[in-house]
Amino acid sequence: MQQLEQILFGVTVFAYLAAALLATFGLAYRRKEADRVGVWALAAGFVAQTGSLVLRWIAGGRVPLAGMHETLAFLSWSTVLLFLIADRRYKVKAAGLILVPGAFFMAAIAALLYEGPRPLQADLQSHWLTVHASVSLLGYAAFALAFASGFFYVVQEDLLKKKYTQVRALIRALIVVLGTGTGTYVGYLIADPTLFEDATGHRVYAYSQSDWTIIGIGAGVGLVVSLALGLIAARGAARPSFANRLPSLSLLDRLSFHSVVFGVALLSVGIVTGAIWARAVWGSWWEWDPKQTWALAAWLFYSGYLGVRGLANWRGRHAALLAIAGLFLILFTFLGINFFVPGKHDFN
Amino acid sequence: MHLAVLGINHKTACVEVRERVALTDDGCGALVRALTRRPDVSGAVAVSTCNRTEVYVSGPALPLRDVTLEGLCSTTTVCRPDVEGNIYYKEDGEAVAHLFAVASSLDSMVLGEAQILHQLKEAYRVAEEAGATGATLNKLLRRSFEVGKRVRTETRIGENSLSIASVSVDLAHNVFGSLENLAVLVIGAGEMAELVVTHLQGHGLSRIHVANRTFERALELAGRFGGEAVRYEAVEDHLVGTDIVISSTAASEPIIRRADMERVMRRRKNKPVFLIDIAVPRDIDPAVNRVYNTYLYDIDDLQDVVASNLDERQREAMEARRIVDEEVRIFQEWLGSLVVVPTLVSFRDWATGVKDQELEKFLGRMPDLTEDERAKVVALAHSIVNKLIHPATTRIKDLAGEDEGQRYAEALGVLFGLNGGPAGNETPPSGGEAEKGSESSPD
Repeated sequence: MQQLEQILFGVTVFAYLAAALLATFGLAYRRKEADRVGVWALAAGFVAQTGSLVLRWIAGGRVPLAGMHETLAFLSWSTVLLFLIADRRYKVKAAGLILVPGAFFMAAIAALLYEGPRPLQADLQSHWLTVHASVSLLGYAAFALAFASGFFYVVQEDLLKKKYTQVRALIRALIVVLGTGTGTYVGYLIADPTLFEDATGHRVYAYSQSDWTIIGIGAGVGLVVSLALGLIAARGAARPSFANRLPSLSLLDRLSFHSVVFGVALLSVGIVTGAIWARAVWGSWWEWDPKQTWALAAWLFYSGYLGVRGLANWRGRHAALLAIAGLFLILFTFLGINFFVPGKHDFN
Repeated sequence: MHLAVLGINHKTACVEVRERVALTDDGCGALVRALTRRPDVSGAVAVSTCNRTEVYVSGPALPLRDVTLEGLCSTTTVCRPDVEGNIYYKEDGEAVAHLFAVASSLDSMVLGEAQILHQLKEAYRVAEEAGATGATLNKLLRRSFEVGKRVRTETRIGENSLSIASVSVDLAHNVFGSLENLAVLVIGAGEMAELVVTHLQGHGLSRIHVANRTFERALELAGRFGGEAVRYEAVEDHLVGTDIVISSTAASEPIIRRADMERVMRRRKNKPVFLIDIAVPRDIDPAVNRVYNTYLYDIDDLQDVVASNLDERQREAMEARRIVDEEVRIFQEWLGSLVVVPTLVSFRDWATGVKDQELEKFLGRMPDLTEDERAKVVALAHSIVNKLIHPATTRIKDLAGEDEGQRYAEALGVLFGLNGGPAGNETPPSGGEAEKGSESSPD
């Protein structure tokens, strides 16, 4: 059964890759067939991933939401789920240009970090874990959707406002930030710094010289690749016909807003259930665990977004920029924390 | 069977000449009927649009120039010397290429426009009703519709708007998505402004307000659009409730300035607004574009979009030409096979005839042979004849698309005393269909 689970997961990774390439091709060359086949590939990958999740659930006897492989896999699954829903409801193929490659990267990294299902320490077993982890991750995916629509809002608005001429730098910058970030993260995963306990009993990561080199190479490769991609994309995007292929400003703004509302609701549930669970296993509601702290910060940030949107009429560009910035907070909460400080959330 | 086209279009003649050879549907019908009554013309189709008048003819021999031109002149009021310098005349492969380019809108004044395909279909219907198309033109015209459709689906030649009005609609879509339930404010009047409003209305825009320095004029315009006239002095108040503004007044100073728009934006609670300034001198201060959620396009901005879109269509046209070339080659192969196939059929008939005759004679002289032996003799004769005619037949078939193949077929006819007869059995270009099958898109 584990073999079938792995096969299904492999199918997922390739289906997501195909979907990502087809989506890019479809938007760049405006081939509707490519878009259509791309969505089918994505749906097929989604079904395969759902299958592998269920198999893992049965095999492990618990919800597969612990450890890096499982969380990344679930996050990619959530991202695809939300994109498929958003695409049906809002018709925003363009958002897939970020989300689908994103889902592919997460699934691919999850595949690299694959480990068979294993039982959790008894004290972590709880229904609260199911709710807490799944809801939090789904919330992250909603913020990723808000990011993608915010990203394309900024691109579309710049195209319209700057009359298609001065947008190349912006598009390049956005792509380079995304690419370098991904490269750095992959480098960190490959470096795999050792974890040890220092004199005071705190667990910390030790980065050796070679770890830093690997991370540096990852960042470098990401930078170079995204620079090249950015050059091509910026040239293709700086024209009115590209603006016509992007969703309208109004739609992107609405989608970003709805995603944040959804994300904040989920994150609230995630934080509360997390606290309840913490009470059960750690004996206190709130531990100021780094992940808890940053999740709270993200929650405050997005609540702030909703606040200024409602009170100060920050619709449009300002809101989109907040949604973009917010994702970096989420990425830090989800991944970056582990980079610096180990907390109670790595269940190794 | 040979093909030819004779015509006049916007590239070879100005409207003064074109209008004299323009034909109504009835005129097209009369022309093709008159042409096909002549012995040297077997089929004719006449196309007449505001940019072109073209006559496609088929006949057993070339040239068909004089007969076609005479026909055109006698149907219209024009006399030959008047148009001699403006006409173009193309034969066979070039004529096919011309029609395919026309059907793909590569020859149109507005590159990639969709109208021409309908006009061709209409011209074909008229000729068909007149019973004038003939088998070859039938095939050619039907193929051209497929080519036109293929170019439209496989390239983006028909995409990206080329007029100020449709570009304005595109931009409005980029900002608002659906235009339904949006409000537009028209300030001033003018042909271009009216055109833009009409286009927007065609996309579901519902509420229209019209402001003008003279209220009477505003009332008149509002009546024409089915909108509502508003006082010129109250424009700023109306900006608050408007999504799209079209300004085209004769004012010499900007009527909307940045500070005005900033005030309006605060009252609108940052709801986006799209301003189209088609006045020269401009009505709206360019700095207005810097106001949050405000999108301002003046006439030059719109024209830049049109130019960029045209540029893209021209790039798509290169791909379209490649498709046309490919289709021309396929059609020519089929056309060539029309010439050689009857000759090859009679060649085979002749060879089989000789074989049957000789077998009959031989078997008549040898009555003692057993059934088995007779069968063997028949098989031997059959095999020898087939092997003898096979190389020539396949060689000519292979070269059918080229002139050479047709010359060999003729030589075969002369050498063996065959009379190929007219091209009667037309089969669809099956090889071509199979070849492009993988490339054609489902819709």
